[in-house]
Amino acid sequence: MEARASASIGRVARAAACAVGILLSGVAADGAERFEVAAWVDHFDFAGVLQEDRYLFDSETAEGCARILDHVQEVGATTVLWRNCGGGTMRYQSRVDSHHNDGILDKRRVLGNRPVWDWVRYGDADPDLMRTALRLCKERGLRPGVHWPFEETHWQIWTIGRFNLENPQLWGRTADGRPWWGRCSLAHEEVIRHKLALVDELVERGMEVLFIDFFRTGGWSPAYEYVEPVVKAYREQYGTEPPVDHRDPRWKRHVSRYVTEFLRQVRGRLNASGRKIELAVGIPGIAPLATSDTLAFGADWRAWVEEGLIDTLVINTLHWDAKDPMGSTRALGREVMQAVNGRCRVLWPVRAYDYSGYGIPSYRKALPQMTDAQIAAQLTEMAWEEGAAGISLECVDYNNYAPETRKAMRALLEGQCRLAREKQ
Amino acid sequence: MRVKQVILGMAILLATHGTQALAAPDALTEGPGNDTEAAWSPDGRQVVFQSDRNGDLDLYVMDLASRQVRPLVTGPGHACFPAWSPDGQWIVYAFAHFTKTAVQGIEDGYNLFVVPAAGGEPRRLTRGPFRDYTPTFSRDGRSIYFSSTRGAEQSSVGLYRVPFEGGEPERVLHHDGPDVALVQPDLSPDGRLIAVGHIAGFRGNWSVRLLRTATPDAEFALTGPDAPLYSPRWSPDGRLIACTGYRVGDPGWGIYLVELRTGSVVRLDTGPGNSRSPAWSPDGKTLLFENNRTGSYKLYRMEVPRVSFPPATAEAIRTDPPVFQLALKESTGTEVKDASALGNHGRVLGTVGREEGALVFTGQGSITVPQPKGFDFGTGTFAVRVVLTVEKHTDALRIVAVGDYPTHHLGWQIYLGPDNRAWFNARDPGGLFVGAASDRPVPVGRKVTLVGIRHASGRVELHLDGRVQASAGAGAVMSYPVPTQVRIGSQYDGASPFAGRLHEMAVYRRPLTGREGGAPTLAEFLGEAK
Repeated sequence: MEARASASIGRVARAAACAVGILLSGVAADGAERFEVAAWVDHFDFAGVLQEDRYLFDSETAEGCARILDHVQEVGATTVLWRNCGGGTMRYQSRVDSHHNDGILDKRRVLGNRPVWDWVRYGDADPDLMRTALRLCKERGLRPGVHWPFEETHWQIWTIGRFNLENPQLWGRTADGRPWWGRCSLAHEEVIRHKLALVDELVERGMEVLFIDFFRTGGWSPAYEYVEPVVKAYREQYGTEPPVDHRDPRWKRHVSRYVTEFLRQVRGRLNASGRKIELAVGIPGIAPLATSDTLAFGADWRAWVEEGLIDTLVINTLHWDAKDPMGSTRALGREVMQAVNGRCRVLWPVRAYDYSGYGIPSYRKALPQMTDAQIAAQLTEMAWEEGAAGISLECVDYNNYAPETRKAMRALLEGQCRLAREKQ
Repeated sequence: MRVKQVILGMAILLATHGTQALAAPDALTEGPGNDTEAAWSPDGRQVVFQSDRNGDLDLYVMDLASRQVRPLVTGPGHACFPAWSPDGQWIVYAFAHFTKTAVQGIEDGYNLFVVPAAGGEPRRLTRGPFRDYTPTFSRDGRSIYFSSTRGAEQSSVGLYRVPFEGGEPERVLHHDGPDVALVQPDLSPDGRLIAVGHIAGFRGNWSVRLLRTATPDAEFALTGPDAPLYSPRWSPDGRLIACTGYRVGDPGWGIYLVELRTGSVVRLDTGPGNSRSPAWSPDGKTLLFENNRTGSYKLYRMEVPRVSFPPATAEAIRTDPPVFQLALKESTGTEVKDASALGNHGRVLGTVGREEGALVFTGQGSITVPQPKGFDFGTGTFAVRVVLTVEKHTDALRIVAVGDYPTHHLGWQIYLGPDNRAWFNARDPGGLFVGAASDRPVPVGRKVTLVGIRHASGRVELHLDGRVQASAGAGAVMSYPVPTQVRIGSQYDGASPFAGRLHEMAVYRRPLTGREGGAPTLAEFLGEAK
């Protein structure tokens, strides 16, 4: 009886949310674009949320996905970037790599000791949770996107997927020649082909935005790219052996070219789908530009903007100054906007996460007179004023954007900031 | 590249088989699905294996004479990692069937079951929300060793044992460190040793470790970290261990043989495709393995060739003397003598006690060695070795020694963290910390040998009693000039004092051998095992 009642409530909420979504979506009559609110959603983050000894979300079911979207829409989301994987383990029944119903036991990687077994139903063929989530987004007028962390890792529990385990000859290698099983190098065509096959699976499931997150690089680093093709190309280009120090600027730039080539291939594959599928990348620590070192994780984002590879640049973090949090945030965001110069869309961060020290909790610490809701609203408004295409919310969990914050943001996003201030 | 691989394969063939012709591996199974993890019956007439030919993993038994395959454990759920009892009557395996979501109820995880080899009702051996897997019988058939996540606080897998009749599993060995695992144990024919695959953390590779069955805490790393090897299986005569492995230059996974006496390894030529999970026939003449040359894994068998092992690669021994070596006997008053030829003598600041064979630090003082010679490592390799005893764990940071440089006060450090783990760190060119920690809190009440190494490649390692620890750092390529001082027993400024006994300390401009790090040699380990 209780289950039926809650399902009924869920249906009503979904219908309401759907209506709101339709109202919120699309383009205004005068042609101005909606100010985008891209919410990163990891259904895993909603697992285990307890209230009065009751789980609020069964993230392993279609019903649970719908309830998660109900929650996400409270913040005013217009685009949902749904997490597709934990490292090399896909959260749907992939044909080309590990998933949660395949290889749960593998003697070659350390097993998770989580009490719920890494949410085993994520690998079910029916429901296919990835397909379900993207479909639900579309039905609600939300843009269905995928958050694909670039070589994301939760270490050996999930990171090392079937493809990686099967292909030691493609693994990365350290400067002293030791193979490292944590990553396959992007310098190998087989690796690119494999990743493109994963892109195909997402396209086939209805993805309209592919968001590649360069913060969650996990163990990927130029430190493990001393593989034969990369070293050979370096010798040919520079006439010398690669430096042992993987932080060497020339080495980082050299290695980043393989990441750029990977993105070229992804861009090509999305274009070949015949559908309009947006490619977005998320860059942490992007500004101040003078000190930012995004090549440390292979992200030569200026080259990507220059070449027109990406549709949207997602600012993951700005290293603002605690002496003038809002002023410096604005100045750094402007720096990025000027560097991009209208060549692609830019989303500014309104981050509840604070692991890097630049999220809402850190603003609150620097600005004790302000509440989280006020900070979030001010950051939203700032992005809008500066002509950003929208904002990026990493990640909308159950608790990290509190009810007052969600309310304040939504009021702005349905009011003053509903449409982007300038077309980019 | 392909030509090169073929030539390499031929070279290995010649090296390993001499003039003996090698018959092509014989395919035992065919058709759809992957047939894997085969195990030979003790009488040599049958093999049991797992297969996903019908979706989930099921168990099948093949009669080798007729090639007839019969289902043993089928139906919903995954049944995997089968192993025979020594009398051939039983097969133990891991099984799980998840029917609910986590919210609907936490179910048992992978647990162990035994089933009559002839077929029949399975009997549950273990229970609980854990992952019990890769079981193997003890040589007397009375108990079953297996890998499990039970008892793990971090993501780790340990080694456990349960009586064949059932009962509470008993922990054999469990390093509950991040991403550390002991997987797929196999007992030596005389039952005295266990070979097990070891996963040494996210940055580590697989290796094969030997444990003494009676005292499993005594471990020996039979294979090194440069070439991942796992899935060990003893030959019936106990001279060899077959395993799955890969070395740089290999086309993919292959079957390796490790000679127990020397630790040297040879890859067998099993033809194209990945080959994995070897299993010996009871007479030791044939190896069974899985290979994916057809696109999916199928079972193959081949005669074990006559193998010429390359001479054991002796550990590269460099004997450069240390640049600092604590000379306790010669030290008097506030003077602390250096036994190296460089005369890096130090002096006590505050109070440091002495007792036979040790300096006693109580938080009242430390030792400074001003501008020591030989510590200007540049970007080269260096190693710091200390032997110490701590009597109890605390939640304080305790610096055992620090290299204080003009470019960075904390150039390198060896210390005990608030988590009571031992740490060694060096720096990257920007001065950022690059460190490695011990798998577990340091043992108390006994001497512990710690060796921290900064390799010229930038790799940072920590060895505890001769065993390299799981965590490692990369990129520590700071160039070290002449230091301001080396401080022993506290931070460079006297803060974070060490409390405990320091028995030995030496610093080298080279990596140390396992022996210098406190590990026994293979011969010693095997000798002690007897």
